[in-house]
Order: sequence, then structure tokens, then C-alpha cells
Amino acid sequence: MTKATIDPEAIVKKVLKVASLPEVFIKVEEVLNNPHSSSDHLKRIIDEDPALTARLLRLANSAYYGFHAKVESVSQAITILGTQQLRELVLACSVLKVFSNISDEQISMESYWRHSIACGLVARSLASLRYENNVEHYFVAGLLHDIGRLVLLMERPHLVSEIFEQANEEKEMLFVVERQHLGFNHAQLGGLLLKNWKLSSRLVEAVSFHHRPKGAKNFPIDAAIVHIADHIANALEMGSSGEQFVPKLNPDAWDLLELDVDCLDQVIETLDQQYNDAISFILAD
Amino acid sequence: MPKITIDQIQEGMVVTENICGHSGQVLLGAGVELTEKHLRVLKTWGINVVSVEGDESEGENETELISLPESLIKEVEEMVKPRFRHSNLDHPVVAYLFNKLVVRKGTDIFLHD
Repeated sequence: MTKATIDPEAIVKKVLKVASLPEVFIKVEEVLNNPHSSSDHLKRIIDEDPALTARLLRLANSAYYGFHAKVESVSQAITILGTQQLRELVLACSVLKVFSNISDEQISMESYWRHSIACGLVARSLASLRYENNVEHYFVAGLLHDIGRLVLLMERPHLVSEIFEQANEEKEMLFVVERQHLGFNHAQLGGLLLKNWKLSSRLVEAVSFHHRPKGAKNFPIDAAIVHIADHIANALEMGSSGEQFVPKLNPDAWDLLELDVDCLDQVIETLDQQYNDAISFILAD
Repeated sequence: MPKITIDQIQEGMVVTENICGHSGQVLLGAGVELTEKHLRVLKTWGINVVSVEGDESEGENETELISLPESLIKEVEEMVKPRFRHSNLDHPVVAYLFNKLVVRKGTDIFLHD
């Protein structure tokens, strides 16, 4: 297979036909982008989708949030989380639904989501330590960082097998072998899908450059946070998106975050507390 | 008094120091015998370490300070190293994570052997 025959845009375009973001998310985006709409509009749109509402409330009530009072309605969730963070959670629930039917043949989907959730939780935690706004944005960026691999699995399952085999034989990192086979890697492909879904360029950069944080020109912190979070999730063996090795940590990305190594104690403590609840939430249905 | 982590707490243990929330409010007072409900509350509040009644010697078991045999640590390090072949163990963050993983795996093997 030569590089020239594979066009990442074509792969994404094919996936878009079967994997589109649900209508409810698009409506949520519209409402949030419309200066004249209120949180009441948002509430009504979400309420119209009972399945989504149930998931959102379950997520809000998981120990992940640690609220001591039960969140029982969408309007209560809006009050507690704010509209922007609620939007992030709607996005997380939406994407999970889109990719809920992938076979376990080449990658265990449970393991894949475990890795993604660990990465999301660590990203969220690193962002909190930096006092970033809207930490749910980082959770979503971490959750979706390897989504390109699912795109590849859907469209080129045989190629994914070849890539896994070669990586295994040569003891090489998957994203390196992907590049040799395709001319691009799963990070770029994932970014392309998110871009086609018209998601923010901030999210697109965070995902596209999680293996090469230097490339993120506009949102270097976002890419650095996801890069470090991916490294931590990999190093601690919390699930796997197919990768068998711990990637190299980019020292510049770490320096950019201006965090002390000691803060990792807290990051990992938080991860341990939230991991199982987040997993049972996401793998529940 | 030994301090133990939340995952080591069991029902019936007696708290020896007040347990306070993040803003300083007392969640549980000293002398309380922990019930299943208390454990849930502590988890919800993100309380990680509490002091309980017990032998002073048990205090050595704090968090991951179970002293693992040197030979076991070496063994686990060799087991884990191949996964880090592409990584930079000379970076303090990678070194920290490597050690964390070794201690976790080592503790697991130690406790289940």
C-alpha cells in the first residue's frame, strides 16, 4: 500500500455518512451560539431527548462530580455546571453514542474507553490545577484524543491489523507505523473528523497534536495538557487504545504547563477516586 | 495514630481525629465508629486519608509505604521496562510515573502472593 492512495479526507467523509453528531447536540450548539436564547431554551432542547437527559443526570450524579445533593433535573444541572460545561457533557454523551457499535475484534472497546476516560480525567485535573476555565472542555479533549483510531477501524480494519502487526514485530509506536502506512496518523485523522463535525478549532488542535504538541500554534496549552494526560494514562496502564508502549514525554509540553512534578500525587489521587465511577457510567449501556 | 487511605478504611474503624471538608467544616468528629454510609460521604467529599485507632506499627503501612522486598522491586522494574522503551525515563515526570507503576504492581503481587 502506498501513501498516495490514501486520502484522510476521503476516509473521514465516508465515516461522516454513518457517524454524524446527533441532532440534539447541533441544537444545543445553536442555542449556545445565539445571544438571544436563554438557559431555558437549552433546558427544553435537552428535555426533549429523554435518553440523553437520563445519561446527563447520571453523569452529574456520579461520584465524578461529588455533589452531596442529588441532581434531579436538567435545570438543576445547568445551575450547577453552567451552560458551557453542560454543552461539553452533551458532546461527550453524543460521541460515545456515535461510536457505540464498533466490534471488539482488533481493540477491546472497553480497554479503549478506559484509556480515553483516564486521559480525560487527567486532562481535567491538570486543567483545574492550572485554574483553567471550563475544565469539562479538557475532559472532552482527553476523551476524544484517540477517536481517529476508531475512524480507521471503521473504514480500514485490515490496514489497522497490518499496522498492529508491524508495530508488534518492530516494537514500534503505533502512531509512527500509521504514518509509514498512511502518510498520517490517528491524531490527525481524529482532528479531521472533529473539524468536519464543526467542533471548535481548540478541540481540533488538542486532538490533532497530542503526539506533536509543538504543532499546536493557537492552543498550545490544550495540546500540551492532552499530550501529558495521554502519557500518564499510558504509563499507569489504565486501558489502552491499542498502543503497547508508553510514548515519549515532550519536555517542552510539560514545561509549558508550569506545574510541579509533586502535583502528580494529587492528579493520580483524583484519578483513582473518579476512574471507576466514570467507567461504570460510560460503559453502562 | 496510624493514618490510612480511603481504600483501606473499613466499617467499624474508629476515627481518632476530626475529619474536615475542604472549607474546614467538621464532617465527622473524633471517636466516631465508621459505617458504610460514612464511607460513602467521605468518598463524596474527596477525603483521602483519615486517622483511625490501631497499633502504631500499622502506621508503617501508610499509603504505598508497604516495604516491598528489594528483589521484588527489581523484578517488577524489569517487567515494566520494555513498555517504556520509547519513553524518556530520565525526565522527572516519566521517572515518577515509572516508580508509581512499579510500586503499584509490586504491592499487588506482594499482597496476592
